[in-house]
Amino acid sequence: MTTMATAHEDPLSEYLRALAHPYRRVVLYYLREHERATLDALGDCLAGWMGAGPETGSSADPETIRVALHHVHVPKLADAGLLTYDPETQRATLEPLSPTVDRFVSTALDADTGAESVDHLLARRDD
Amino acid sequence: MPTVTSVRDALERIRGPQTTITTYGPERDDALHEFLERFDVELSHERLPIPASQSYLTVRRDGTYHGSASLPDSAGVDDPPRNPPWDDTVETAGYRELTALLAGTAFTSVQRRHLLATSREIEDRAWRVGRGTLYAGFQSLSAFRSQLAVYRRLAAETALDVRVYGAPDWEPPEVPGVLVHSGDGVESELGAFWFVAFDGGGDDEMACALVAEQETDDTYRGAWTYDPAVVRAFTAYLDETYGPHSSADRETSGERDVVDDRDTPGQDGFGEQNG
Repeated sequence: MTTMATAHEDPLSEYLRALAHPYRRVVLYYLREHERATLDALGDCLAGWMGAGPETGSSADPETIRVALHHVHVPKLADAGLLTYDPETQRATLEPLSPTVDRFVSTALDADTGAESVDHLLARRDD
Repeated sequence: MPTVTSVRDALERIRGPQTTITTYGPERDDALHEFLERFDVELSHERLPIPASQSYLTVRRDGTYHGSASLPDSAGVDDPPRNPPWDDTVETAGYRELTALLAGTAFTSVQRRHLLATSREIEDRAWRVGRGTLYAGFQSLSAFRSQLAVYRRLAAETALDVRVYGAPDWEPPEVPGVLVHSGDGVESELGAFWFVAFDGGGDDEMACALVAEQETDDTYRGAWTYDPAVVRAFTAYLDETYGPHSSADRETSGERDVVDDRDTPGQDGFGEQNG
C-alpha cells in the first residue's frame, strides 16, 4: 500500500477519487439536475437507482445508504469541492462544475447507464 | 383485530397511512402519473438524465422508505392483460412490484379494467397456492358470467374453495367447488362493492384482498391489502354473514338468499368486454 506523499492531491486525482464510488456519482447526477437536495431526497434517489433503476437488483438497505451518504460520501464530495453540505439541515448544494469535471461526470453517467463498457467509451473519446 | 362489521368497514381498515411516490427519469410518464393520481398519494417527478428504459419510482409511507419499482414494468398496470392466472406466456408480472407497493393505499376514480390487474394478481396467488378459499364479489352474478370458465378451472384443477357473491340477475350453472351466494346482502353491499380475496391457504404471506366501491358507471374507489389480519377479518365477515352454513347441500343446489327484485340501473355487468 502506497502512502500519500503530499497533503494536497493534484485536482485531477481528487476529482477521480470523488467519482470512484457509485453512490457519489449518482449524487452528482442528481445534483446536476436539481442543484440542491436533502439527504432524504438523495437517499431515496439512490435506493431506487439500486433497487429498480439502472443498477436494478443491488440490494442496498435505504437506511444504510443514507447513513453512508451522511458520514462518508457527501463529505468526500464536499472535500473535493464539488458540493457544500450542511450536516445540521442535511442539505447538499452543488458547486459550479468546471467543463473538465462536467465531462468526467457525463462520461461516467454513460458508463453507469449504458450497455457499453468503460473501456469502449474511453477508446471512443480518443478520436 | 376487532371484527369487521361490513364490507365498507373492511375497506376503511385497508386504507393506510400517507404515501408519497416519486418517479425518476428523463421525462414524466404522463399515463402512469395519471393512473397514480387516482391514489391517495403525493406524486412527484424528479428529472434524471437516464434512459427511459431504466427509469424507476420510489415509495415512501408514513415517512419511511417503502420500496422501488421499475417504471417500464409498472406501465402495464395502466392497461392490464386479460389472460387467466395460469397463462405464463404473457408478461403479467411486470407491474406486480408496483401493485405490492400500492397495497394499503386508497384509490378513487379507477376504472374497472384497472381493477382487473389486481384481481388477477389475487386469482394468480390462489392458483399458485392451490388450496384455501377464494372469495369473489362481482356485484351482480351476470358479471361473473364472463369469469365462469376461469373460476370453473380454478375450482376443478386445484383444491381451492371458491365463493362467489352478487345480486341475482343471472343464475349460474352448478360448478363443483364453487359456492354462489346471491342477494344484495347487508344494506345492498353486495351490489355496490366489488371484491376479491384469498385467505392464503394456510400461508399468511399469500393472503390478499381487493375491495372497491362503485362510484360511477365505470369507476371505483377502494384499496387492496396484503395484511393477513385484515384479510382474515374480512373473509370471516363474509363467511359469517353470507354462509356457507352447510357446504354439502350448497355445492349442488347453490345458495339462494332472499332475492331483491328491484332494478339496478347503472350496473351493466362488466362481463362484456368494455375496455
